[in-house]
Amino acid sequence: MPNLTKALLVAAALSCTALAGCTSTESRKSETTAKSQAPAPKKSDAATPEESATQTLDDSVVTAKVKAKLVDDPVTKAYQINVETFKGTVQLSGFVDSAEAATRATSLAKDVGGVKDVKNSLQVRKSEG
Amino acid sequence: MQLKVLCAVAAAAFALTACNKQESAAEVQRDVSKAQADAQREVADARADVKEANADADRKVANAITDHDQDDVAKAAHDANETADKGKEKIVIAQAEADHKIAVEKCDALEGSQQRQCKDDADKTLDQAKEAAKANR
Repeated sequence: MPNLTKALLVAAALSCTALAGCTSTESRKSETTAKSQAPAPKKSDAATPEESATQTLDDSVVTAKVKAKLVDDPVTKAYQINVETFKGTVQLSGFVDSAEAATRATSLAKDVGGVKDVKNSLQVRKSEG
Repeated sequence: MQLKVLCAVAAAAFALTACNKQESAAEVQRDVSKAQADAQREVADARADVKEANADADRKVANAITDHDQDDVAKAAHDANETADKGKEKIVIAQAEADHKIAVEKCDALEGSQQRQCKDDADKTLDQAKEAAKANR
């Protein structure tokens, strides 16, 4: 009789293990299906850290080139113009003393490789005297 | 002696005539098509060279930024702008030379002085385009 109990216990344990194995396989299968059925994330939705780092570096390169262009120009070199770039869009800010200087700065910035757009936030302030 | 002089004059006259010889419409069409294909390839090559040079120059700016060397950043950025300006000039000149080649081939449809005038005009247009490209730098 104790032998029969042992045999039943062993059989029950084996059945449980087998059932658990089946369930685990099933659940893994459904996970895979869910993943394969889910729509692939769009590339433009979110930039990977690498893409974002590259973008930041590209923007820094554009900023450096715009600054160099403004410093090399006889008209704009006289002013301290701030340059910021985000995703190729350059923003110029600071003070200049003529509308021509502001226009010149914008046109120089537009001419730099990698610049997609220029936002001119320069303020014209006539110097006294 | 006189015979030699006569031969030389005759040869020169023949060469001049051959220079401005009118080509048949089919020949002109063939030469123009070839010039157009060459021109397209040369301009595309120039564009590719310029793109590569600009990418190299930008990489140097990026490296200087990564190294946090402000002097190097300013110098590399200045150089990158120079490279870009030279590149624009190179493309404009390549395009002008390409247009010139095609124009000269088209001139072969004309004869004599008209052909010579046509080629002179094409040369003048090329020179003007080159000067304009340099002036725009």
